[in-house]
Amino acid sequence: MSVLEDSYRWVLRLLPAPYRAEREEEMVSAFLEGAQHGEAGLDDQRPRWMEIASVVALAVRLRLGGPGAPPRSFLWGEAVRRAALLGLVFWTMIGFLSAAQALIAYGILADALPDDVTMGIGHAGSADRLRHVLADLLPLLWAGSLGALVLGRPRTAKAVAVAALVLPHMLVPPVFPGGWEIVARWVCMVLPAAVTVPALVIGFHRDALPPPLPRGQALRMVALAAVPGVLLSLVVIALSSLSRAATVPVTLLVQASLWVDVPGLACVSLLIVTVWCLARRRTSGPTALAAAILTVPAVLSRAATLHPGAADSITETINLVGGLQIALLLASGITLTALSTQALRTVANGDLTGIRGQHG
Amino acid sequence: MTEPAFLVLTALVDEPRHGYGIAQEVERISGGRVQLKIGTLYGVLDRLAADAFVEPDREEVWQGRLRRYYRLTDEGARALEEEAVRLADNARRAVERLRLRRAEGLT
Repeated sequence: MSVLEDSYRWVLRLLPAPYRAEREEEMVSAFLEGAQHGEAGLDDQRPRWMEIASVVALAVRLRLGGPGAPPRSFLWGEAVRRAALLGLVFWTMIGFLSAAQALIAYGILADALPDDVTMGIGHAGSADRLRHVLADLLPLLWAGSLGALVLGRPRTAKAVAVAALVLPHMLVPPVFPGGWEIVARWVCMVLPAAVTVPALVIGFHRDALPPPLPRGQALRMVALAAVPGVLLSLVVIALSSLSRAATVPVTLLVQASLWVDVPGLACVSLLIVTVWCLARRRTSGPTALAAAILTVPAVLSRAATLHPGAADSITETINLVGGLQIALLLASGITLTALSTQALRTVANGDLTGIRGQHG
Repeated sequence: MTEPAFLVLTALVDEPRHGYGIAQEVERISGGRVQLKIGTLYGVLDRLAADAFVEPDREEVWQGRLRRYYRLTDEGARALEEEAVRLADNARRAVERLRLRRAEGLT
């Protein structure tokens, strides 16, 4: 066996075992014939990157199967697609929260703040301010991505989600004054949004297209995610007012704020999903698996805000509430993993009633 | 129907072909523009087989390696014909409009 054949067979191990058993020999044969005819010399050490990429794409399509796929592949596919959908719903909510807060903080909504209160970055009318306002409004693109997905336009949904993830950071690039620890914290904070995009990209492929909803129903779905975001912005504003009025102890306000920041809301959202999965344990397999996947970045994003060893009362409060949220997330993660394992076992036994019926 | 699927079906019109034979024929038909990677080719073949447009024909051993041949089914031939007619119709319309544009001196 040549080195080239050996490395191509190694790449083919990405494919599911039953598929490999059926196709490996003819794929190797076709690949080596191509290599012999000049696409690559037989002395080459490894297949070209485009060849590897084509096998990776095939492996993703097979492992994250659509409705016609084998049960296990379909369950994983559904889990990744639901992770993308849950992520889009969550980030749509955050998009509206961010936008509503920006409109208020920058005084775009008239009389939202008292005259003596100045908020926001940059002088009114400056390019700097415009850049920051845009960076705060751009998360609304998540709503566009969700809308496109539920209307059955996955390509648009993917492109818009990438824009929603990347553009705010391009407009206001992160600064890392404190070395690798700050970089690691930033990465953990970005992770929950970053996970949504690859889930969307790999989950909704040609064999697993989202069923298009009627326009009205799609709009209702986006609104369902947007309304909590707007309502939450009112809570955040109320907390800011209480903070300015200095009538409530700061530690109490910090405690409350930690439940309405992004990691706190991710924690609450995942707890709600866990309760939902428990209530429908027979049919919630793919959603439980999706939520279990999303728990990992949620834990990391909350952990990134903790500062163990700090002595002041505010940091202690942050660590206490943050620690509690991580404990809750771990508990829900374990529950979700147990539900997912149960679903995977059920699928292995050939019972698909709780999973096939859930598609779409 | 995607372009690779269209070209794979076209490659199988005259005779059954094996994996590399299909990739070669697709490259020839497309004038070298479409070079199917093996992972892409088998993805396309899977979909076409699932739609019953192609089916395995026979297996041969060549230089100690397995060659599995695929053939076009009647259903695949019908689907290819419908797609070819649709594309030809679109191309005809485009050519007619371009001719009109030239006649009106818009070029």
